Amino acid sequence: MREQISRENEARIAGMTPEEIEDERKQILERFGAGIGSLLEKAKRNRMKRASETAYSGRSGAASPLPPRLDEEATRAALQNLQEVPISPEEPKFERARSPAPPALSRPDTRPSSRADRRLRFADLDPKDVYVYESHPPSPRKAVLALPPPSKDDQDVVSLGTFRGRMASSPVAIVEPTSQDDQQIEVSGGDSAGDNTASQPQGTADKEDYALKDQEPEEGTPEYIRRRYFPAVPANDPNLAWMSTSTEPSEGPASTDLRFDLHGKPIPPSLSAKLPTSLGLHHHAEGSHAGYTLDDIFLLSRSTVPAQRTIMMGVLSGLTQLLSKMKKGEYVPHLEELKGKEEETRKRIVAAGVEALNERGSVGLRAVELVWQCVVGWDEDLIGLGLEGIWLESANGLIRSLSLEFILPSISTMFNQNRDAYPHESLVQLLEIVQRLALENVANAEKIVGEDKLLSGIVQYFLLEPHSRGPEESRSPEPEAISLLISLAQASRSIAEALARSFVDDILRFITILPESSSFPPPVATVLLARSLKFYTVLGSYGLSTSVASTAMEHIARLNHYACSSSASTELSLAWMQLAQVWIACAIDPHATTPPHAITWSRVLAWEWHTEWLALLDRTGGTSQSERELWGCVWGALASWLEGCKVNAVRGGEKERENLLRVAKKSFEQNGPASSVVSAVLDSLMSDLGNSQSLSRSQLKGMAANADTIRNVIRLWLAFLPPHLEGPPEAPPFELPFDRLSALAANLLSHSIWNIPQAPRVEIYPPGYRYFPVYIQHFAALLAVYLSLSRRLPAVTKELWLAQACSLILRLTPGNEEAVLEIFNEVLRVLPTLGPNINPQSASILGPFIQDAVLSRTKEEEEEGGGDEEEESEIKVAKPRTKLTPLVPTPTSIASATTAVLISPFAGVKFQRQFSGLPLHPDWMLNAMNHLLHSGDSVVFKHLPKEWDASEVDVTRTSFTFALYSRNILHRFKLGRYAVSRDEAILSCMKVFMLEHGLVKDSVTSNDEVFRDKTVETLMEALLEPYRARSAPSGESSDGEEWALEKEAGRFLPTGTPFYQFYTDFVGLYDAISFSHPLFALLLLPPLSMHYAIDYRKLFWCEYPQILRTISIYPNQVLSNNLREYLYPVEKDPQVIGSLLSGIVKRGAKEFLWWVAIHHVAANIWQDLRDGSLDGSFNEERGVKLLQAVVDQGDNETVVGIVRYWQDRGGDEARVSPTCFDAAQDVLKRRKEWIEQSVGKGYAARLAGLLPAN
Amino acid sequence: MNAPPRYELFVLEDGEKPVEVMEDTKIPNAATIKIVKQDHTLGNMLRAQLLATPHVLFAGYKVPHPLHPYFQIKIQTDGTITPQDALEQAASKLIGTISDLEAKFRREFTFKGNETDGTGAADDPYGTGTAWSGTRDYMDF
Repeated sequence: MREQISRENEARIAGMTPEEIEDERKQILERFGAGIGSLLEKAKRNRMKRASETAYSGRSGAASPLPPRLDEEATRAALQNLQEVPISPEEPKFERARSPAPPALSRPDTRPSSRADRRLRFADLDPKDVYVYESHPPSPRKAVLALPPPSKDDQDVVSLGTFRGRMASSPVAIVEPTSQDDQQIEVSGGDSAGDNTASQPQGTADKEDYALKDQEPEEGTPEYIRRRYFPAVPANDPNLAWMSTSTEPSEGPASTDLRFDLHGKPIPPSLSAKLPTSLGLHHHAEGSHAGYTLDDIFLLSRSTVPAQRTIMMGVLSGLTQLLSKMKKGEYVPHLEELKGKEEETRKRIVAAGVEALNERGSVGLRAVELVWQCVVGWDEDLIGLGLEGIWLESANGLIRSLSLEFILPSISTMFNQNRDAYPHESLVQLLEIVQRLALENVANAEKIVGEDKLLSGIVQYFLLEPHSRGPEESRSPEPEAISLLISLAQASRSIAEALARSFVDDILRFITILPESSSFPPPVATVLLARSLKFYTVLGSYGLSTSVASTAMEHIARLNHYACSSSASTELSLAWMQLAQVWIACAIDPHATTPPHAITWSRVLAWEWHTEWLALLDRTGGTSQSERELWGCVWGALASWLEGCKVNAVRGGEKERENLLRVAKKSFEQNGPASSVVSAVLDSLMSDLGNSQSLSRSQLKGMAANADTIRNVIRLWLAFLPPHLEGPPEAPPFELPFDRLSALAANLLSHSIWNIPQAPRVEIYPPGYRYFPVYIQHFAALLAVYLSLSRRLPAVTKELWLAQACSLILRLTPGNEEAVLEIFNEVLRVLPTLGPNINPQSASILGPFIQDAVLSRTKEEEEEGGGDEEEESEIKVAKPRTKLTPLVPTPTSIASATTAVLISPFAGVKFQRQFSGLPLHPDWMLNAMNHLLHSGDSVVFKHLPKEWDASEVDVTRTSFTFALYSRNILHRFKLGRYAVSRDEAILSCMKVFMLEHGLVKDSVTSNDEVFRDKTVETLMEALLEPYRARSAPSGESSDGEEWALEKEAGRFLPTGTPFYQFYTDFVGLYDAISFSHPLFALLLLPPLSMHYAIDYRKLFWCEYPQILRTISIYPNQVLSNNLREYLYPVEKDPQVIGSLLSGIVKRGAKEFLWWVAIHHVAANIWQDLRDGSLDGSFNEERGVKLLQAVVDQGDNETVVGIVRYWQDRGGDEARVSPTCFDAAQDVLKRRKEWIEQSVGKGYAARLAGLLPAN
Repeated sequence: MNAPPRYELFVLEDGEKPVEVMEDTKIPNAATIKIVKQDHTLGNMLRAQLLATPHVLFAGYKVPHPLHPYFQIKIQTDGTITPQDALEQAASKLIGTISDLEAKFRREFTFKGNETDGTGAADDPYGTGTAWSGTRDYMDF
């Protein structure tokens, strides 16, 4: 531009006559004064100079230290000579906030004071006149530039690459050489190049040193100084050895430890010894290796020099990124050493970051970034999951290790007092940190809300300020800040109340302005509006802030109109529909909201939102996923509205139903828009469920949305039924594909997604799958609604429905408590009509117990309890039980829900149990037994309704009848695996026997022992019958899960009581009162299986030998799939073997026990019964002694049994008497040989009749 | 503080019967016998003795509560004798065994005493051999 002007000017001047030029000059002088000439001159000179510089700066930059005025030609020539010489790298320029004052400022001291009259003048410089000399190689004496370029065939040369780019001050990135032989080191994007001397400080330099040694030492070396200044000091004084450069190339530590460059990338050991010192990687104490070890970094990150600290924060950020990549399974070269220690390192790193959080300047900024990297960036995907409503608390607990008492006030200060000191990006990072902290657990959320001015600062900065300043402000309001409020409000009711007090009106301003009239860009405005609606939805699900609907009536009406118009985005419409649904649910029972009557049904009727919704549906297609979701949401809102009408409108809402039905019926007809949406959603859901093996998160999310749609359409269908209708209606309100819905429910029931929460770490699951329950609860809600639907279907018989209920009820997750209780009541209503020996009165006996299984009460005593020592543990128990908001809010849930966030899957079992009784265990109908067992301190017994009057026997009978019937019916419909399992049945029966008597009452006879009751006995027999060895088809399922009973028992035994203790009491009780009750005896046996610990067998065989003879059970009666579990691996414990021996020689053990004892004794005598690798080595001495004992003490039958006993070690099935006593002839022959050899001829002779003759 | 008096553990209250037999109505030849003011010492011995009796099918005892000084013993026989008879037999056998044991013990102890008296006096480092007679007096008592 300027050039063009000057060219024009010159042309004009050339075309002028001298007079004209003179004239012009005069005019200029007149206008600007006399000095103008020199001024212009100077300006022109400057311009010329700059032009000449730009002409060559493209090639040389500011790299070469050229003298100020140099002939351009000469420069070029010099540069050509130097072209191949690698340029010594410049030291990275760090910010030195607190570095010592530059020497320029100390200059005045050097100036003589007498010359004070001199004026201070500044040189006429521009930035290009300041020459930056590149930093020097290690020794200032080694003139780098003077060296000639290395010759091409020089093998020692390590090229750092050719210099390209500008002299940026960014640290060097080192790329690993592609192969070890290739000694090329590439330095990319950096400010460095090196020469061979610099890159091999020891190599060539030392060679030179040696060469010069006898002559003059190089100036500046220690030797030079010695010769020159200290000739008297002997050469090679060991005290001065530190001064000489180390001669051994790798004297330092063997360099197995990891070293990192300034980006936090690991430097491979092969490189770290070779990199030049000029890269800034050698500023640590030990060794001559390039790069910093982790310890160096942590040390330097606490440096008092801010610049160092800043750099190290950056290093740690880079390292954290790499670690998180590695944690996610990506391959990161050279970082193997930290594999498995990612979390540990991350904890140390975040501690370093937190410590620097409060620093000012760049240290603080980098610290914020580092903490962000550790807390948020580590697993960013999780945050999305967390926002769906699940705590992200995990086992390793990085966040738990953070001290929020320190962090939160710091962040609060940043947002309130020092906000201007931070760039917007850092503040956004801080917001995200707070968000992540808030998603950890409820305690963190409470701390964040309780922190003084933290939230108000955030809201002020991110929402209010940009909003009030309007669009001329460069930034628009940050929707993430509303997300933070949403996640906090979800955390608990009390937090939501606090937020409702402080921020409801602040957020309202985003609702009042529709995106079309907003001053912000429409996408931002839409997101803001949608998030605000979501915020009110969350508050509404606790019944809070519902008065907004009335106070902002006009705005809401406009919003409704807008959301239902074609210009609104689907996202916005969805958000509005959800809010409307919650508000309608709030209006159904005006007392459920806080404060009551904040929103009333009459207003909801008056607003007539639904007319617009119907119009919206007319316009909405059903092709895309989001449109289908919208259909679902509208149906849900309409269903809520109809449900409200049933309660609140005239004549049960008959008129409203009719009106709406007219529209709906048409839509749901064959090929109607609604029916096509339903079938499309079903299609996609079924196909997604079909290929279930690898579900990604987004897929699952889509499935959950589809499940919601189905759920809502079923709800709508149900809402059309008139109230007080029992059983199926005469005609369905509208058509739904009922068969396909049933198929869907059946598919869901047996689907593998339910196993995800318990799944071990399996690769087929995507990262974060542990948190998938947050989506799975949508399927559970669908199943709950399906059960209500199938009850109304004429095709579903009562038995079928019962089977469905008993199986599906196990799938219902926390949040569905109400639904479960409703199903249960319905089950109890149906059960007596089907004919088992349950009458309606006795059915109601179980009510309180099941209710407790679903929603247990907190123990009141513990709430009041004030013992000093136990106080702490009591407080934990006494916390009011959480109640999760269901996905579809009901008046009850609105009044009582305490949280909207699922418990973290990593939480302990105890906390999970405290969180919710759901999902139920298959033995839920037997829950009453637990309370009978602990009737002394059972909460249920203290809160029984007045009319409840039943004896223990009644409760037991009813429970078992129920369990038995449900199992039968489940088996009849091929749903057997949702029935009570073997172990659960065994434990329940054990509980019956453990119901002790005679403690309080003075009755001691067996008459009122529960297990003596004939009915109870028969029921128990029936319950256990299928698990007996004879009825189980052998080899069908090797159930063989070890410790199964112990695991199951953990649920009803108080914590700290092992199953062993329970079993001890059980055996003791058998010994004391059983009168050899056969069923009692039968239940003693399961823990004697070799799957269980030796302690059970020790207890049984060694401590209670007297009970052996009272137990008369045949092998086929034993509760076992495969009797081999009692035989193998062979018993090893000498004490138990001794007891087994005495059990058989004294004829104490009978039938099954005799067989087991014979087996173990024989297997310890005969080597051919064992497998060395599985049963341990054979103890010959013990075998000899055992045989002698058997022969000396045992009666005839025992001896015969032992000698002829045979089991096939590798077989599948156990041989029982008598087939186990026919060992083959060759086996017996070998036994005989062994006897003759090891035991003695005498014994061989005594046994001769049993053994084959030679 | 509020511990029950010790004597309650072994002194019968007024009108209290030491043994109470409850026939079992549901199980043949079975009875539950409550024995008051006794504890595991007797209960365990009786149970062991009963188990050694050939006609007894089942014998078990329990002390329902450690602070209540009684135990219940449950006996079932094969029908040739009643549970009461079995218990009586067991008790008399037990008395026999114990008196036998006592007699043996006494005899051995007398031998021991004679040996001590005869040879041990000189060995006694304190020369207070007469003190042992006091002990023997106690045993005699």
